[in-house]
Amino acid sequence: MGFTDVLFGRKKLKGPAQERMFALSTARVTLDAELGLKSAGTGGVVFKPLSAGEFVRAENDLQQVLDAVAGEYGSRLERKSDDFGYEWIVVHDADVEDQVTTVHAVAQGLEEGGFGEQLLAAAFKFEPKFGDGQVVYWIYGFKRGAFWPFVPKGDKDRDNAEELELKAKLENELPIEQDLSRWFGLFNAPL
Amino acid sequence: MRRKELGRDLGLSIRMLAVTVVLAGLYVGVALLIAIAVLADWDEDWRVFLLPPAFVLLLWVHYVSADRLVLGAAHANVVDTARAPELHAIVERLCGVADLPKPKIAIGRLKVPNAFAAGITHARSTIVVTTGLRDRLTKPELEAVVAHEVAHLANRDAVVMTAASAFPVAAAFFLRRRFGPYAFERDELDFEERLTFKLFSPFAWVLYIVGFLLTVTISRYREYAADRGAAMLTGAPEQLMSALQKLSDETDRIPSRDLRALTGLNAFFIVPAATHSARFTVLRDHPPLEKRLRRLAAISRELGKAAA
Repeated sequence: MGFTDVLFGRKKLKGPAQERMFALSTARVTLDAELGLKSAGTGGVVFKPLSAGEFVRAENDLQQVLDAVAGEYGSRLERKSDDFGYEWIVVHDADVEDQVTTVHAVAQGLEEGGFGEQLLAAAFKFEPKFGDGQVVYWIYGFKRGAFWPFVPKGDKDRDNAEELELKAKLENELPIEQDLSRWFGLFNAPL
Repeated sequence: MRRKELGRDLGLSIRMLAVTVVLAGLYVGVALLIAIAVLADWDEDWRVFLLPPAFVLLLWVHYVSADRLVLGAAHANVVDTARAPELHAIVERLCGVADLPKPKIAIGRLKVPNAFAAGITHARSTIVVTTGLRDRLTKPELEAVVAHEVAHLANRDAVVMTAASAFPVAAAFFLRRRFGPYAFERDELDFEERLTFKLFSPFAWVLYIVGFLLTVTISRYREYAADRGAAMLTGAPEQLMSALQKLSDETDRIPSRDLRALTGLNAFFIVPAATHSARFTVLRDHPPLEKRLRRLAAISRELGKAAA
């Protein structure tokens, strides 16, 4: 943060750091072999939309972006909004690698369309291969360019022990956010 | 496509810069005066050397206890995720968008609907919401108010305001000690020295008043900046406008006797709790509602437009 930001207050939000998201494609092997986690088939981008009313044009830009990505990558895209007024672009694809590529393309498209500063995170859903254990989300913070795990336990609790274990196991393969106070959760994610 | 920077206001930027420069100039001036005073006095009284460390100590005490003091004054307790899951989720996401670590969240048991941010460093920062605020606002309005406070944290307003408001206090303290009534009691002063002191004593008060005016001016500018920040974070300036409208109505309706107890916190509140007469706008630490609404309306017209 620059000196002028302190002097005058911020006039722009930080833009997204996109590229490190691809690390998840390689980490999927460890997730599968050592932790018994497989993709639940959905990943997505969550962003803060401009509110309705005067933003019809931004809305058209967004739809164009999504149509272009869907046409090029052949994944099924779905638009959803959550209780907190955030928009989700959900990508349905069984393969983690394709999921990451498509989510990256969506985020890239949103950035080119001028929504980059509004990008909050990408989230990828994983579930246990056997039995019915907890669902695990890997959240990628665009502002930080880093991942962190999110293991929800009910509507408002999270399993910190499990999350810290995931951090420890994947630290060498994924760029993991070291500042725990930035590990925000996404409860009731529509993934 | 690049989108427009929001709330671009060259006039406001220039005024903020001017006020900051004047304040910084005053700081340097007073520091020089103190240095001269200390150097002139040291052979008479070695204790003058204790003053600068004493002032640093004072600032340090302020630094470690300010957030607790402010929380206490608002009857606020820090709440964990389980007790206020929705508020936590709102704050977490806004901090994600703003690229800030998550602050602590406290709920103040006050009927006055208000919110404020406290804490000098990001690690110690706290966002306080009163129960009155939570009860009266809709969820998007609450989010907008919280975003205003997150913007205060992002802009480091607690530091800026502490630095700015330390000035009048420091100026008055040092100048009155050196040139005030205490200095006159010394017998060994000759006529010329007495005259100098006579001239300097009112000067201390002028400095104090100028410092105070600068502080409330900076505070008003920071409010506009935080409003703009909230609009950027939520993308919905109209929610903040509607919240501000509601809050100012509610604040005005509450008897002023209860509110007077709160005036010390004003600089941190989203709307000032005590009511002032409109004539004294220059003395207020928050800009008037109409002006804030006008600026937010301008921002809402800019939102979503491409940069030229």
